[in-house]
Amino acid sequence: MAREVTKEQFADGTTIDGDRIDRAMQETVDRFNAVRKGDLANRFLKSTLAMGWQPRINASAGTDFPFLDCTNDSAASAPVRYENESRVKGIQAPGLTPGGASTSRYIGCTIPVRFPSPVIVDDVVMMLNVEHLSAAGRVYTNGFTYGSSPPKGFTSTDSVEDLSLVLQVDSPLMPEDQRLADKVFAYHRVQLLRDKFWQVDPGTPPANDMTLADGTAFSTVSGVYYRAKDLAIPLPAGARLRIHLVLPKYPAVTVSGWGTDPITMQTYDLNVCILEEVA
Amino acid sequence: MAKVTRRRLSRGHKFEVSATNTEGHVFPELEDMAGEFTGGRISRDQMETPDGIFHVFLHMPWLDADYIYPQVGTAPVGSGPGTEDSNYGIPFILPPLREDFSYTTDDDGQKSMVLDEGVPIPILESISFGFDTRSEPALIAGRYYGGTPPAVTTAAGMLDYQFPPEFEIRLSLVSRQPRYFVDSYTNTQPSPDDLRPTGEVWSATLTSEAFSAYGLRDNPILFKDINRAIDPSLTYVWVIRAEGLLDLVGNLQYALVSVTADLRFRIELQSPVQDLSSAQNRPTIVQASPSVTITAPGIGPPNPPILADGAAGIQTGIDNIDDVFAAKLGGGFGRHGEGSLDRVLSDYGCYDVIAVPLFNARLNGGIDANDVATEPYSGAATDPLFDRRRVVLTHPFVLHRAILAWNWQLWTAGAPQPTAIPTKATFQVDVGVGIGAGLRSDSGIVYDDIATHTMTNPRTPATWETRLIDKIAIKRTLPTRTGTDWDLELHELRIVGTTVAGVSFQDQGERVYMGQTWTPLGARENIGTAAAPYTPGAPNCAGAEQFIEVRMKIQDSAATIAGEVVSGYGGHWVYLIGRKYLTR
Repeated sequence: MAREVTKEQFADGTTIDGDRIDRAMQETVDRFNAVRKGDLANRFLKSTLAMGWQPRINASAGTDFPFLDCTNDSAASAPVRYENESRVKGIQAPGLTPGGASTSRYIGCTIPVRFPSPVIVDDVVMMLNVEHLSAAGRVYTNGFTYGSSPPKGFTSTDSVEDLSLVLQVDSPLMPEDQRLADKVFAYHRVQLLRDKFWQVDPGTPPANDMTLADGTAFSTVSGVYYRAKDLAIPLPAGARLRIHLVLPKYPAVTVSGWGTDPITMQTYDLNVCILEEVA
Repeated sequence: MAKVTRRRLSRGHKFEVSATNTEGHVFPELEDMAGEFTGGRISRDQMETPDGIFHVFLHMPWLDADYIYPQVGTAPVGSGPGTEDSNYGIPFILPPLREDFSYTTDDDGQKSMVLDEGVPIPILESISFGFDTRSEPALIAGRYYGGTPPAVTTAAGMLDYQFPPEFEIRLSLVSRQPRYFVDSYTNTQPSPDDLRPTGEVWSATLTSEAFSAYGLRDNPILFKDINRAIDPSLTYVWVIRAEGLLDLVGNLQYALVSVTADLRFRIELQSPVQDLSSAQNRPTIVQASPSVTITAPGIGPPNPPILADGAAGIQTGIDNIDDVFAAKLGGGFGRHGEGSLDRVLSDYGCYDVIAVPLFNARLNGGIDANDVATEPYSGAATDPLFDRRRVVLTHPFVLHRAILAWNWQLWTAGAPQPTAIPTKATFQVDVGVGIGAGLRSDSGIVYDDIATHTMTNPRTPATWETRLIDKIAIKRTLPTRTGTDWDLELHELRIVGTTVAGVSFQDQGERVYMGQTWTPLGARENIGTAAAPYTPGAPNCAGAEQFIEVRMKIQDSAATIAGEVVSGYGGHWVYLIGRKYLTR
């Protein structure tokens, strides 16, 4: 029984006249000639927002850019007030208190983007790349474990669980108040070594490397590979999305593999895959 | 035919059923519809939403006050802050996909892209622009805050709430005709002015109110309803001009951190037939269209002239069409390359761009000869520099072309200030694009090459410009070389595989499918190897590719001379241009 293209129904024993047939056919043809968005079984298209960078060498004189302090409690020029003393939600990690000693901080890279139409966040991928342990001249050396002076409750071989990856959408009513931001995706307090590129060491170099081989410097990818897929997080039109990657900055190198210059311990790849409807 | 037309059944008209079902009432239309469904010919012309969306997403880790060069003193008149030296440019081009790419060459050797009505034209719909201010109504102190570049201070990253009210950022999208399409007989030695953008597609100025108010700021800001057509034959440059980052009087030097521009485009959906029949590394394509049958009543007595129910009834015919709508119109691919077993759409492919940054977070913004020995993976001036990015393949993607945006833009650096292009013939840049598999597996990591390019000796066109599309001058002060100067270049990478001529700016291998497939679809067509003659062979990834990897290597085995640029400020981009598909 037709329900989609026309409401007219014809059956033996009931009237059937030209007007009704004509109306049914007009509705059917109209629908066929102007297929609606909702008629499509697949109406989404993916787009991949690719971000990534290779930071400076550990302990080199330079800035932490694009990482900035997550706690707003000091400034080069005095504010009327701090509007967001904490700008990312839920980032607390063992052994670190936001706003604590100047050498104990959270530093975050925040990537802002705004969409004019509704989108669905489908995949979030984070790669923290280091060189294979066997590679000579390793530059990015994070082992993602705690060190000889770990936070209370951890041992020196435990995986760190102090990184945060957060997607926040500003409140439509109070967009600058990050306390009211909608936290649509969060990766907190997860053992990073649970999400490695590989569980069984594949050896190095890769079995079939690219022709533009990296030599011993890069070799086989190692480090943290985290992917959250099939997320289906809807964002409304006009949403202001902030992608936060937050690292811990400990006061001593003995606390963890992050050292005291955490941005330099790995290279970064971030991918956010969004789905959008046909337009 | 995609749409159908119908004969009206006007009052007093005798209902007809024709023997061929071409002239009668009701059934010709129903049969036409059934035929379009069965043939998989539902096209964009009959969709209320015939366009897809793609993005050119550009994220820069930072833009500091040192991107403006020259800054003080001995700079030539007309240069420095307040001029084009305050421009920062990122070039790109959005050429048609392979089957739509063609050009003519006239008697003067001038090439012109053929853009007939069948070539989809991107429409710039909106631009999102933002940067990180720590969620405060403040600017971020740069590396030189309180001093003068290139002398680094210690305030970087601090908040400054009392920044000058005249601080503003000008954004623009400008265009020009690429050198590739310029008459090669009469214009072999262009002047810098010949290499500058000639048109402005869009521009806007963000004033300090956008970032300084408590309670409501425009960061990220969204410019929507732009609706400007993009010419696929032109080069475009996204330009940021933030001369307020540099304050030579008060020494309040700022930085834009995590500068993010998202250019969103609309474009017509397309038929991807050639992707499915020609792409290297393509899987077993499993698609089918539904069988929709319309049975018309018999002609003449004893058949009744009209039936409501039954196999030949009007209701049954409409029901059969309705069933297709109720089941939704199929077309496109799932995450793992699963085609639609009820495909009725013909246009389910869409243009796509993945913008991949490289060498974009250098300690000093760019790399000059003095920096090489202290860069990652390097210990000497003759060592190679490496960078690589990975992009996870979430859905099928067919690569049509890969374009390198190479950057020579100058910046304010320590002495000796880099001002020139490398002189030595040993300066070489290698770019590689591959697909990889094996993440989280026990079987190791494997790669297949997808595209490669090598450029050597930047002052010699015969070795540096072999696959050139365009060279662009975006700043006032350009790195010097022999003859004309410029600071941005577009090159086309060579996709692996047997050469297919006439489908791109330069000879190319066939397009390349990439995306994970599950076992029944896993058998793959061959893929060319990276080295000429690009002999096809079975892909190493064997249908399990999980990510794209883009690598770049820069090396001068004889050491670049002090005062020469190795890598421009903010690094380079590789644009992977191809086609994606409707998905769910």
